[in-house]
Amino acid sequence: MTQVTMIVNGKSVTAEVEPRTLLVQFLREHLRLTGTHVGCDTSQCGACVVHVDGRAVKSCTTLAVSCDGSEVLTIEGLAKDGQLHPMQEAFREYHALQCGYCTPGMIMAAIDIVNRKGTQLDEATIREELEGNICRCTGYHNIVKAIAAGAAAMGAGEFRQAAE
Amino acid sequence: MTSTGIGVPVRRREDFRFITGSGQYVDDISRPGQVYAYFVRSPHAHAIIKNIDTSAALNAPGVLAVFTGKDLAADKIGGLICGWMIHSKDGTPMRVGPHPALALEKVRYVGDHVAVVIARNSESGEGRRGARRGRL
Repeated sequence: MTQVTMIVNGKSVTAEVEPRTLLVQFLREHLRLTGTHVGCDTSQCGACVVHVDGRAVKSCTTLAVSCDGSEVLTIEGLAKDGQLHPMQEAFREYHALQCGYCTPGMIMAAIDIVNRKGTQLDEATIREELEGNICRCTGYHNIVKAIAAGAAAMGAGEFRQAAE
Repeated sequence: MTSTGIGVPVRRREDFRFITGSGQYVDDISRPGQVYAYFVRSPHAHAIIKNIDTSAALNAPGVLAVFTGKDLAADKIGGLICGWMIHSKDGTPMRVGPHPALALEKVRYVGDHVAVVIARNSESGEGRRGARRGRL
């Protein structure tokens, strides 16, 4: 067993884990943050995407111990004081989810796209950047619309997503 | 338009929990004392089941029970139903082959369910390992 310490959604956590524990297991099973999902066994689907030190990461392919000392942001950490993040609002507004299973990963990936590519995103860029996220329900059409709108809303508001 | 509501978009009620990560999908549920089911599947595409040796799985730590197709049949648990039966013109129902929940006598595809292991899932994954020890 190894001790690992990280800041998750602004709170410091320390735990003893087996070194082989994946970050997604650590979040879901140790911290009971079940918003991050496991959707495949092959690192393809992106339902597990979280932010580690400001960058989108597939938590199913990351060891928890490799995040020792890092800052982790999950879907549960987006809403502040009961107010939804603009990207979350956009997903609701544009009907970008049906069963909702891919949604946390989509939202976290979308915010990372904005952090890297800015707030004026065209359809081609969004579709290319979403290659690592799979959705079985929606056909992606409304997800793309939501991300474009969410990105613009992030630009309009005073805050840039604190991946910090 | 607004007086009748026709054409007005309606917000879904379930979206809030999905966009905030507070949905309760099956794997998110955690109740005290809950146990887990692991399915043992056939590595063969088409084969006769001669014997299922459950002893190794039953003796593995964390394993509470192992069930095979024979156990289900003995308990008179039926198979999977056809979701949409159709009938001939004279009213006779269509012929449907049996679809037992766990394979009986024969496996018919790689991945066909042969046995289910019920186990406690300790942190060290005892239950999972117990399931893997089941042999065909």
